[in-house]
Amino acid sequence: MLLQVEDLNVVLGGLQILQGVSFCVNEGELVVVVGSNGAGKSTTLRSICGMNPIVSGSVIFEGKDITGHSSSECAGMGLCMVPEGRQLFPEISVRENLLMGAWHYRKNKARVMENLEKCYDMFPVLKKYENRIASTFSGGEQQMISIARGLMSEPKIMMIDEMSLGLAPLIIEQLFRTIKDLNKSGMSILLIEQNARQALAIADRAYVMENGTVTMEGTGQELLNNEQVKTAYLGF
Amino acid sequence: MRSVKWTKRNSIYLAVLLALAAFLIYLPIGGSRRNINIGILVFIYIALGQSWNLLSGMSGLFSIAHALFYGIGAYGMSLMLARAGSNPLVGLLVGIGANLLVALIVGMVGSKLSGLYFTMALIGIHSIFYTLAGQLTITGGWLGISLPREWQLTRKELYIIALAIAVFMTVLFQVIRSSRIGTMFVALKENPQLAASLGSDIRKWRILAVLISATMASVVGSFYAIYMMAHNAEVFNGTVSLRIMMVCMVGGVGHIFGPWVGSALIIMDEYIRGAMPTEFASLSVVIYALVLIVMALLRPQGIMGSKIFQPKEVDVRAIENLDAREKTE
Amino acid sequence: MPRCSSCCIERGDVLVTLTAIISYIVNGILMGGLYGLTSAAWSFQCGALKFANFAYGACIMFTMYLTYWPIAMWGWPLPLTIVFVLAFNVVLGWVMRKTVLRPNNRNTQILCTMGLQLIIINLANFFFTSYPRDFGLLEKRFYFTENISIGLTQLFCFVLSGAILIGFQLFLNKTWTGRAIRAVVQNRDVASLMGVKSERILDLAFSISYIMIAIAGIMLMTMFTVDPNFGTTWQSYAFIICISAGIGNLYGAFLSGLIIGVVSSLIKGIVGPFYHDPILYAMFVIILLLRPYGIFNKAENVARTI
Repeated sequence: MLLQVEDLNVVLGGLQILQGVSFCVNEGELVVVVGSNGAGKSTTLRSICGMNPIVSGSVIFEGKDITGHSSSECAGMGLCMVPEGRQLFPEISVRENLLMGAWHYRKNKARVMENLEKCYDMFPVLKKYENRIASTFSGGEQQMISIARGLMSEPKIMMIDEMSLGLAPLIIEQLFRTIKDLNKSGMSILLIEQNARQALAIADRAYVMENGTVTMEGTGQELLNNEQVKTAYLGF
Repeated sequence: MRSVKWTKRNSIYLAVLLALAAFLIYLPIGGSRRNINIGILVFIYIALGQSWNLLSGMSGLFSIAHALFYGIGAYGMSLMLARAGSNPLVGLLVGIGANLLVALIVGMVGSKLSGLYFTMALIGIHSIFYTLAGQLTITGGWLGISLPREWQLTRKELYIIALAIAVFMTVLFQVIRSSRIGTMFVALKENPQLAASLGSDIRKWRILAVLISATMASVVGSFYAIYMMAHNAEVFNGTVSLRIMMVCMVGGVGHIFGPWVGSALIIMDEYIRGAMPTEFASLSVVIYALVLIVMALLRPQGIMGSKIFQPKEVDVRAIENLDAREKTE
Repeated sequence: MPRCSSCCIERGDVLVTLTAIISYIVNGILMGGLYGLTSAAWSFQCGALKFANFAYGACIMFTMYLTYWPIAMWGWPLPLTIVFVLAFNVVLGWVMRKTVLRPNNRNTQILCTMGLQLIIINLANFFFTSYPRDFGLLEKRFYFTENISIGLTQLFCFVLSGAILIGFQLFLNKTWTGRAIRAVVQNRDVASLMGVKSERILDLAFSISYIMIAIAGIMLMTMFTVDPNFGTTWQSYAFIICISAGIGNLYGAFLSGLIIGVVSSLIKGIVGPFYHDPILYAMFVIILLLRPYGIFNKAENVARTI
């Protein structure tokens, strides 16, 4: 197991947001977590990354207990989070955004440039506009920049939070294909999504979260065909 | 009004209030001249405190140079009496009139922009008046103005007037707080976007807040002129503004009795300064400022205040642009 | 009002002729370099780091005293004093960040720093007394014509100010640390995710801006007379300059500093120092009413960071 979350309990602002959340991601897997708004999916990710305090439970990454570490240690460990809402650095260029992703190994210039080229190969449109200010891009392109920035940090696992929010259907399809390709090339991915149908279609395994706890688990296909899931999330 | 629960806490408040009232009544009868002076000073700061409370506590427009309005009120009175040979009523009105004008300018800046810009505009306008007051011959420059003898009142009369002013301002604060105007002010402070979306004109209300607050401070300033019978540009001094803020922030921001509690600081300061040799006068200000900083860091809402004093930083233009854009979409 | 010991323009018999005006302008530009540097440092603190530091002027004043006292009173050598002043400012900046500038609420910051300003001014009053101090350096002047001259110290300070500012902007744009500062300023949480220790970076940025203040203070001491109230006027000028340029705009602050330097010099020369401050403040208020986001910023770019 690459990433294992066990019995996570998180309290924010006096309210219990997560109750006993447990799931895991194995190496090379594409795991999806679906659920409606307010189910606690983003909170889970943020807690794994040390952005929320954890009351009890544990997060184990590559066999080591990393519960409660600070968010600035994530990148060095190989944990990469692509946050909700793109969250780029709005006033600086695409190139500089990507370079920031390489912060934790910045001293090795050759490596940084090599990874930058790899990103540009994967997303040629970024190379074309590499000096444009990040906030001037469209939502879909910004998501690409965000994912590319994540890739720059040489992660062992990519955790992507709600990447399809507010984007046009065509763009969303493109993004899901990109994620699937990434996974095929060996990257372990944890994908949090409200867009259940497309997410489950590309998932190896998936979980359903409701009201701060995991209610269902199975392979992508199993959950796609599950009656409860169908009525609640797939609109049947 | 909500019914007051008869708790232990309230009993303490009541006891303190009664003791305070007894002390206040005793002063003009049996107190020494110095104590009466301190009493008058306390009332001045209580009244100024209510004025500040209205602007910064209730409406969220942080006024860092409140002495501006106070000083204009003082000069309005003294200029009218000393240079124009008029009577105190005219002096009062002139002070208020000048303040309304200044408050309008300040309000216009503050109504459009967020807190930092309002602060700077206030400081800018304040500096203009401070330097001019200290340099123009009509204001007596550095030496200041003295008022004609005929308007001098006895200490007891001054005390009663000061007390009346302090009580009046407190009542005025409460009246405004409970009225629709007050609710609008608080709404603007707490959630300006919501208020704007409900159709209120933020600018108008903000300007109104500054106007009312300035008028209150003006009255106190005019009283000060008659009380001291002479003053110079130091009525504009930053220490005055700082004291006003201290009284409110320590006593309780936005709370009606905040300034009353906070005025204990004024008493403390006067006694300390009286006790210390003059070389150490600077140090007493240091202690004063340290208390302020500590209070601001540890308990920004003051002793009596209940909510953390955090007016929303709002850019009115941004909100208006948002509305405009929504209308066209 | 700051009294300049080595660049006062004699009003005596000089008619307000063209040469005099050119002289004012030239001197104003040179003076503006220092205005620009101090304002840029404040603009950086306020716009980028989002710290409303109202103890700024007092810190400059104190720096000046710290430059003067060891050299004039205790006979310290210059290099040692410079190191001392720089170190003191770094520590001061660090302390301020941990105490007075800790709360995120801007108004509390304003209040606390104003309290701090009072403390610093009165401490200066107590320890140094309010007697004005200056080095009384004789200015070497370089004469273009009979009436137009520039002081060499002034020129040096101008060049140094410009160099520091350019150097700082380059640091921000080209180095990794500078990039990190800009990233943290724009999005603290995400910068953390990339591995940047946000708090440390902010400490560093703040200390750098305080070093800039230190250098500015040292330069100021060579040209001005200091008394405990020196800082208050200087701070007001810094406000005017920063608002005119748009908070957060560093090059703009420098340019604005030059402009204000020239305007100030012209007002002092033509109208006289008596009405200098009120006129300047009046202009300030007008700018606030008409173009509050800065003359160099478009209305949409509200308080752009670097």
